[in-house]
Amino acid sequence: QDNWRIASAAPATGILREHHERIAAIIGAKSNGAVISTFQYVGGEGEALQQIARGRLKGGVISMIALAAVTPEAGVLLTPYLWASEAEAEWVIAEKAGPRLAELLAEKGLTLVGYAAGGWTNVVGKEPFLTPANVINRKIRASPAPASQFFWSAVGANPVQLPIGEVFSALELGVVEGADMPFTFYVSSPAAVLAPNYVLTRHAYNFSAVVVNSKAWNSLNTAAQQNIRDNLPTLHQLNEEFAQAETPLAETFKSTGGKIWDLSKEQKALWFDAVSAGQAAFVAKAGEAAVAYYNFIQKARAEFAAR
Amino acid sequence: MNVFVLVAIFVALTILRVNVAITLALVVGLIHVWYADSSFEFLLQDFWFTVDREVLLSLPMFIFAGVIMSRGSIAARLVRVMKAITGPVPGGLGIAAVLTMALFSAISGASVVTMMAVGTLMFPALISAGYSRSYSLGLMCSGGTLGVIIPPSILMVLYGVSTEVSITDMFKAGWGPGLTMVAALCAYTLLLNSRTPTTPFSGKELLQALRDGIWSIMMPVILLGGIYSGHFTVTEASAISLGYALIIELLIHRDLKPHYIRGIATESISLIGSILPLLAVAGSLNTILDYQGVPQAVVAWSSQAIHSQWQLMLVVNSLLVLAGALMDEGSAIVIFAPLMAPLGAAYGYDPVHFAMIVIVNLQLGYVVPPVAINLIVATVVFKASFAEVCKSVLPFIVIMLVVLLITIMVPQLSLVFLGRG
Amino acid sequence: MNVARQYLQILWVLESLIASIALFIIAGLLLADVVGREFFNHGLFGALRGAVYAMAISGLLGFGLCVASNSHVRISALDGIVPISLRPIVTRLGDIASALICALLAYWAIRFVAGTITQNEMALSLGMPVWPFQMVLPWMFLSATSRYVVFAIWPQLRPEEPAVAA
Ligand code: NA
Ligand code: NA
Repeated sequence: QDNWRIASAAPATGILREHHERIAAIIGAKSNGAVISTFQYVGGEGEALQQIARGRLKGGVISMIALAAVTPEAGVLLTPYLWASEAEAEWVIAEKAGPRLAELLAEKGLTLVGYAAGGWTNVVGKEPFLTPANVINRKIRASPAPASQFFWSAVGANPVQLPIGEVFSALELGVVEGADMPFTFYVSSPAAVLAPNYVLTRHAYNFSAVVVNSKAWNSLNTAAQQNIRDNLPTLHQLNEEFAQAETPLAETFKSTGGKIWDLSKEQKALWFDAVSAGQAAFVAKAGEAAVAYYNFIQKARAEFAAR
Repeated sequence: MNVFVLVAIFVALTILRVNVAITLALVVGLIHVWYADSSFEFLLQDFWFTVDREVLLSLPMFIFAGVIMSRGSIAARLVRVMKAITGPVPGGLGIAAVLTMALFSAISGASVVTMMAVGTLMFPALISAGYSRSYSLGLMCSGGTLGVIIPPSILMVLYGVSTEVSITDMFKAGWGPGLTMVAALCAYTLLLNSRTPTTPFSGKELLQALRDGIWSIMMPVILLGGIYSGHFTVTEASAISLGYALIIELLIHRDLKPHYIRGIATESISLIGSILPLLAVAGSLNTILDYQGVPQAVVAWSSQAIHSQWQLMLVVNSLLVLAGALMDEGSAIVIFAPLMAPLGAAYGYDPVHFAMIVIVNLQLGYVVPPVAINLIVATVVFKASFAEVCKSVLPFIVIMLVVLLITIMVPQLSLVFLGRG
Repeated sequence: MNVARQYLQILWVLESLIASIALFIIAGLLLADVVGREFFNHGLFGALRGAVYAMAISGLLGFGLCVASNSHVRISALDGIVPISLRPIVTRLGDIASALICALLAYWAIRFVAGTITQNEMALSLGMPVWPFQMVLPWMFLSATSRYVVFAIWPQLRPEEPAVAA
């Protein structure tokens, strides 16, 4: 019986890890006895993805940012303000964008078998950055993702790329005054104290793909493959659990002096307008394939709206 | 059986005077094939991902800047100033070195970076002021580890993301063991160097040294000032120190001719080139151990022997010393922290206090051979044999063990800065 | 032998030149990023990634330079086992062994990079493929192989070991 190591970069505690460990367990448990599976922490997602593609690891839960290195289309899914709502994102991914992504990943020897939630990225600041006017020319930490860089440039900030290890001392000493982070990561880091304002811009929707090395996947019979697919939780299910897990974290955060800023309709519009004009150009930078995928998603969004 | 083959290969190649990097590459490659159900290709992949890391960026910069400063005259002039100030105190320059490392540790989160940044200036200074090679080497290697106890600390960040312990709390708590370690290093310096010849204080010499060394003094001023005022990060500071050193040596001191730069660059690259393959091979071995579940199995097996607090401490600390010796500390913490933190909680340890025990212990891993990055880098940069460096850190390992013992026995040391001592 | 000597020289000049340029590129990229954001309100996106790849190239080429100058870290504890009179033979056998091991590593390095090319893995923040940077892996082992072959054939071209060894 083969032991499949299923990789993830999720830190050892928190909802992300719970989800990924559950996914790793399901893959072995529902293979009809064909394989067993164990969760394997791998610090770098890019490294993990390479090991899955080359067969050292058999599968993994890999975010869109890491997948974009081999499939540029995955990066399109991180375009700031791509989605109008979570419901829209879930429907388009499940029905249209996901199946297409699966075809693209198959060309790279990877089989997409499911999804995992990642939560929304919001704006973090020493001061409350309620509108783009608040961040003009301010130094803000951008993640290595081109989408993060694009977002901060589009709203007029001065984006600073820092490795994650230097972010906290940079916030403390004033190299940067803000950043963009998903909530679950933010609240458990020193950023929650150093930059205690969390502004709900909801500008990027994060999720991951559960991918398996195609050669390994094809060694399972059809019944086992179907059984695994049927038993993996849906993105909708995991998103709901994610949101539930954030609620008590938010209460603790507020009780220790943190502030969560909900935006008015007008404020939201200001962020959206600053970014949306540049979306097409941002996607174009990733190449023709990315543009085609972007247009494909826009069509799917229209279909969702028409439903 | 295969183990004997591996040992035999290692011994045979060593007798044939093959260098360690190539010998280990073959041995670890064979471990991939024989034990890890993997192939040589993954050794090469591990090679790539070892160098494909931002955390290593400052290494070539500080090495290059260091070689320039010692070939030119920045180092010598700075040394003259420090000698003029500390000369009258026995062990004065040693104390100054410790304090400089503590100061740098308060902005740098890494161990080898701290050693390099301070060592490139202070090591030649200590030697030329008559301190023993052994003491100077040992101090640089062990003092560098202050970088991960005094906050900020990359190990604390990794511990925090691997467990539920607040990184912020650890950043506060780290000052307790950190300052204890500073005090211990100062005490040892005074004890050991009480008979180092002193020079009487001369205002005239100090003034002259200052006038002569103004550009050299500006170097740490710019670096520390720039970092503390939020203009650049430690990684960026490494490039700035290089740029500054080049400009001063070429345009102001002019002790260094432009056509020497190429040779100095090549020398620095050779230094880096002998360090990286060793890190890569060690990293590959770590990955194998991790994927085979060895650390998990060892912790599970040994935790059966634990029935009390002192047994827990004995098991946890022995395992961590072993892990520190065999692994890089970042991997060790990510693997062991989530396994051990629940044990600590179960036996009534405050989570932050327990975290400090783990981190102060793993600090030893930077200087306990064989996989000790500070020693490997020191071998190359301070031009010493591995045996000499290992011997030089022995007394300092004892000091660090004492600090570890104090950290274990006195929880208040870690907790007082949190307001719950 | 003169051809071999020339070959070693050219290889040295070429590798040390590329590696030195890469070293200055690291510093240049990091400095440009700082200057850009502190004075012009916009840093250099991708500078960090570019610097990391420059470090990989510089540092790994350094492996070959160490071979060339015979300055790699070596364990000397077992040196006494072999009588000094046999040392030339031992050294030569060692060079042959090193050449074989480096050739093996070069083969797998090529397989590894070929995998990256098939994958078309991209360095996103630079907008270019990763494999050209990874070419330093096969290069370092091939160049080391060729050096050890030369040393094995013409031991007189082998540089003396620096005074310090582990
Ligand atoms: Na530090
Ligand atoms: Na170690």
